[in-house]
Amino acid sequence: MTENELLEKLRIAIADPKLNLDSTTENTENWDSLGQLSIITTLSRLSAGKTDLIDGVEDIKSISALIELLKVNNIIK
Amino acid sequence: MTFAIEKVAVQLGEESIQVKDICKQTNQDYERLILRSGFQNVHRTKLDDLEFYSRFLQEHVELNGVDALLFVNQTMENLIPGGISKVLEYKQNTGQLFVLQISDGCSGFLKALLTAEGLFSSKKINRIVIICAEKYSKFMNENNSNIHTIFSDAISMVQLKQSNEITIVDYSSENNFSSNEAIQTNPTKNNEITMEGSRVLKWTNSAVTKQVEALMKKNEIDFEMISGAFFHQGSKIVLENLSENLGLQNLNLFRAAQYGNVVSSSIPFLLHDNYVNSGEYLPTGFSLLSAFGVGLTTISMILRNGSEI
Repeated sequence: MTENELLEKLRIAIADPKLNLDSTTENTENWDSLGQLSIITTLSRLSAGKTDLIDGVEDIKSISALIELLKVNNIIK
Repeated sequence: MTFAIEKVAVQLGEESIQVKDICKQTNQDYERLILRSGFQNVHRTKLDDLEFYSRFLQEHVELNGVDALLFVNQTMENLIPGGISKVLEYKQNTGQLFVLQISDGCSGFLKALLTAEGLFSSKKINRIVIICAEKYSKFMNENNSNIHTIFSDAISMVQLKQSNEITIVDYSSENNFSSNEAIQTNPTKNNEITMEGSRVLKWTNSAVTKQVEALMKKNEIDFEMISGAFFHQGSKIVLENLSENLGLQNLNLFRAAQYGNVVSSSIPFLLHDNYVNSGEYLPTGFSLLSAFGVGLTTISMILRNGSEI
């Protein structure tokens, strides 16, 4: 999975077509506790459950931090 | 040792609240919420917990002929002599009753069922009543919509007797106590209950899926052989994920839209619904039961209804 593919799926997950690399919980209206549930679900499905084993993924508050975490854990290229 | 389910009774808090109305009051987007939580109604009782539980027992539980009563509850505040002693204070036929209180949340019913099986094996106990009861509303901050729109006050009873009908084929339980703060009451804030939803979701995706898959594999039972699925009704999104992970989409795991998350009473409510809909508590064949939450603790169990399948 690439960054772009991930972003495309997350835009659908939280119903925000403007989600981008600079998006955070602070500047993204739908990225609240409900949005976080959709993000966790989407990541789990895209990774066949691998992200459910990553510490801290549930606390991520920005796309840039999420991508970094997923790269460190070899989920995205 | 095997058993049969003789009777199941359930009771919600007398006040039914539409989650849509809560959303209006708290300025929340109902449509977004309902996609995740799935609960259209939640229920509260204005009675204090002791009165709520005692009235239910008076109305639904006949202890004549019952040898043991297992009481699943975490939130009664009566420390000594203990919750079960107070709940049964005015109940008849308790003199020789073996009573045991199990302090557990969402997984409490299955732990009680396992305990019941052990008691039946003693051959000194022929009939057991399991009571699951929680009044979470006394710990709710109405501004915390994560909690307020999910949990309901409820009590249930399941009466079992020794029989050849139902067998516990196998079970598996697992604890993750280092994450117990994911669902907890906060003593510094009037014991307000809090839940880290995304953390609980991530944990159930992983822990429950692995546990159920391993249990099925160990017992060489394919998911196609499962006739009934009775999963704790944590929320719609939790059960949709488990449903997809386990390939159980045809069994409609989430069935609590009208009554909310009733904690340890979840599975008794499902058994009751099954009886109302089909005339039997469990379908013939294998049933898969799984309960998870507070602790964090998860327990999954395979039951077989009928001796030969």
